[in-house]
Amino acid sequence: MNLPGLELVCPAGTPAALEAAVDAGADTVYLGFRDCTNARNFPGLNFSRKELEAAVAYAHPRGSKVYLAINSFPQAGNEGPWRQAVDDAAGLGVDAIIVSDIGVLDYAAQSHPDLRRHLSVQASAAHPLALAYYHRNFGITRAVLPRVLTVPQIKEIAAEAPVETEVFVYGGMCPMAEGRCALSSYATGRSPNTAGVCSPASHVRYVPEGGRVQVRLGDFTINRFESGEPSGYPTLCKGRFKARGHASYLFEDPVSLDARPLIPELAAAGVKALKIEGRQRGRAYIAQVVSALREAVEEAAAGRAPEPTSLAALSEGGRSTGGAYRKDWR
Amino acid sequence: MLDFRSPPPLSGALVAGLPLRLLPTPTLAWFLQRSVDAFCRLHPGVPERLADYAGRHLLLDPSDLPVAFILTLTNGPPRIAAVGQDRQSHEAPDASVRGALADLTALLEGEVDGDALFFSRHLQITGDMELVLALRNALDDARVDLRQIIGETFGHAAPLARAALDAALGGYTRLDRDVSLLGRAVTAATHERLERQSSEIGKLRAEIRELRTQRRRPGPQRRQEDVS
Amino acid sequence: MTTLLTLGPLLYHWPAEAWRDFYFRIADEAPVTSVCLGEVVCPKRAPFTFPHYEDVIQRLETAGKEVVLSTPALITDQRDLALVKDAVELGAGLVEANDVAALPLLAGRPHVIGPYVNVYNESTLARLSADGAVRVTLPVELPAASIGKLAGQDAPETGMPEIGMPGIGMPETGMPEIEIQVFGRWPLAISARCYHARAYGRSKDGCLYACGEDPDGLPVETLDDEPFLVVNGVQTQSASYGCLLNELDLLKACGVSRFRLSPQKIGMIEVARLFQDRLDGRIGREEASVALRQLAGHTALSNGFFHGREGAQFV
Repeated sequence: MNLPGLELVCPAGTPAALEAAVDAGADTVYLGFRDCTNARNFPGLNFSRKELEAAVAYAHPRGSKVYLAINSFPQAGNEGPWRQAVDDAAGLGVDAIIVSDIGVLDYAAQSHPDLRRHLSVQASAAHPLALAYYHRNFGITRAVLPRVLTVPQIKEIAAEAPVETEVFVYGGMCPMAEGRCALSSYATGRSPNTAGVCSPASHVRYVPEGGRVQVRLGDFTINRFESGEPSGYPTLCKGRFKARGHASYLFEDPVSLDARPLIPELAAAGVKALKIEGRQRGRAYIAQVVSALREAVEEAAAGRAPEPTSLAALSEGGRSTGGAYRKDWR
Repeated sequence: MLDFRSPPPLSGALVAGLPLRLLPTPTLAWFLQRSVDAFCRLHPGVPERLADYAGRHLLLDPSDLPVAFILTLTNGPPRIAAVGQDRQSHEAPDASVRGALADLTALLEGEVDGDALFFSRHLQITGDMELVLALRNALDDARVDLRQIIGETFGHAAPLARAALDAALGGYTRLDRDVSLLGRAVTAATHERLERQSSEIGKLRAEIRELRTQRRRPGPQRRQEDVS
Repeated sequence: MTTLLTLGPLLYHWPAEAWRDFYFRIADEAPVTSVCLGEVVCPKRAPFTFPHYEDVIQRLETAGKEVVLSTPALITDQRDLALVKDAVELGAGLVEANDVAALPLLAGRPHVIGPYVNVYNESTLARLSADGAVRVTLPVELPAASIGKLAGQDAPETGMPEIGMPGIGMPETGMPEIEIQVFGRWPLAISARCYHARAYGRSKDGCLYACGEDPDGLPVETLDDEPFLVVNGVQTQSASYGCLLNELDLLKACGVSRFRLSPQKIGMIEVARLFQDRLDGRIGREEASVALRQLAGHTALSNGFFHGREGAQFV
């Protein structure tokens, strides 16, 4: 088994989080600029050019790599910021860029052929032929696979794909095909593709109702909690809705993905890198989760089944799931 | 006009925090503003990351203290004012964050994950989420050290203030235990009765669920849960 | 500029005969130029309608309609991909790609890009055009400003001429035609998970075609009983019918030449006539709006995406 080759790719939303990730054993830290060019364009988050430079200077001597996510979709007539981000990534010495848009990939392949290009999960490439398209046309060397695939499907893709594969093992779940979801903009006018945000905080309101809390997204009620009931992100697809007269978490429960027990299986499937979601989380979370995942990877490399320490307290709804990797998810 | 605070529960922090209410408002306000100014000198990046939110008001509401704080963001250092249950505030806050003092200070210092506190309902947030998130993200990067800020604020009196903070965070734990012991002693009988009732209610709920399931069977709604 | 109506693919799981009869009536009565058919949502549905393809295509062609063969919006396995191969082999008309995985099978020959492929900017459009796309239906969430930039551009100004891929230039025919959905529920999301089966308490593999129970989608309401979304198998759509009837003139001014009507379980022939009459100026704005509201019944209308607002809004 090719276990020692597994690369742990960890998120950072701030310089402090990056240092926490590197110190906790991240092989790679991924991050974004503080603007609309990445899909976590959240208030107060992300890196200036200067901060990215310092990040690379902190990570490289410690043996960690830095990937820059440029993974939102440029709006027509305004492709400049995305091209600038690609140019700056090359200039500042990041190890790879993570891109989803065909136009940005085309630009990067032509302008900076030596800068490694990874396909973002936002490109929603879920079949070897899609990966072949991006590889042949834009020379991508790795693809981050959607969170909707099963382990057998991942295995099939990893075996046939002309590129390395990276899969999510921990953090938020996205039940829809990523990068192809307009639910957020239907309710708020802003989406991951148009603004780098999903169910943006600016449109979320928690309205106390006696002992309960109503969660509003734009003009719509997306949930209602009893006080004390565990909750998740106020994301549209993790809201509670009524269908056929019954209220339920129709799309996805408020749970987080924790695929640590599946690491040996994913490695055997030929996966090259394991990704942790959560650039929006604090450095305390990053330190704790990266250490736990590092441990799980080492355990797997030693041929032992990872015995997950509890990270439940950090999860949405205080619970975790194997997500789509689990057979009954569908 | 403003009634956004609920009374704090009986706790060590509350008992020890009561003297705060005895401080004349101008004195308290002066110390608070001094702390915030010192904070901004130490962490200039924080007001910088919050520049877009000038003019917004945030209520910081330690659930176990008899006072809360209104933070008003400006183009420079934010302004801060204390409000109590009986103290009126001029303007309704754009957002509020309520949680135990120990959780709020741990959050300020980045020792805990805000999302995790929120998911477990240790933090209650109302109003403008973007404002709260921006503040959280800015603070998380700053690597705040409360003791250092106290040093800046209180100068020669810093050791005293630090001791007070330690008492508030550590000492309170002991005090908390005592108070809650006391509380339990007082309420034990009631508690027992409540537990009995709650277990009976639980049983009745289970029976109702069972009846509903039977009624639906072979109905398709196995996975769903009622919200009522 | 001539403006043309397209009937988008029927996205719901209707009984095969109802599916066939719907397309027959469209062929005979609807003033549409192009008609899309093909299973976009779930490959498990395809075997039911496939036996009727030959009859339907013949009927449409006899009526002078252009046939476009639509393919799955999310390609994850061989069953999905097989539908693309079938469409290519059928050779009955242009094939519409709705997932990038279909592109390698279509490269170098004229094809259509559907609304599920992310075309947000000029560079992407130029790139797809270079590979043979002759018509592109833009994603539903694009605002007027983006539509204008993508539809109004001239070939010489597009893309990055100085860095074009060697050996592949702009097609001599110029940039692809731009098509915009102007009627029907907005397709908002697609998943590998079937929410329709989930709502009926079934697994995806044992779904027993739950989606067949809801020929216009399964209504999803908020906890306050407000209509919000509908579920159609693995697809999630808006509860409202998207409607850009009042924006047709603006769209034409933007350079949009094709308008897509996405079939709902209402009088689609009448909807098509209404849009054609409006395009030809045979009917006024007010009168058309009133008529469409009547056809839509109790379902709300929305046009917020076009106006850069919440998609659910009706401005």
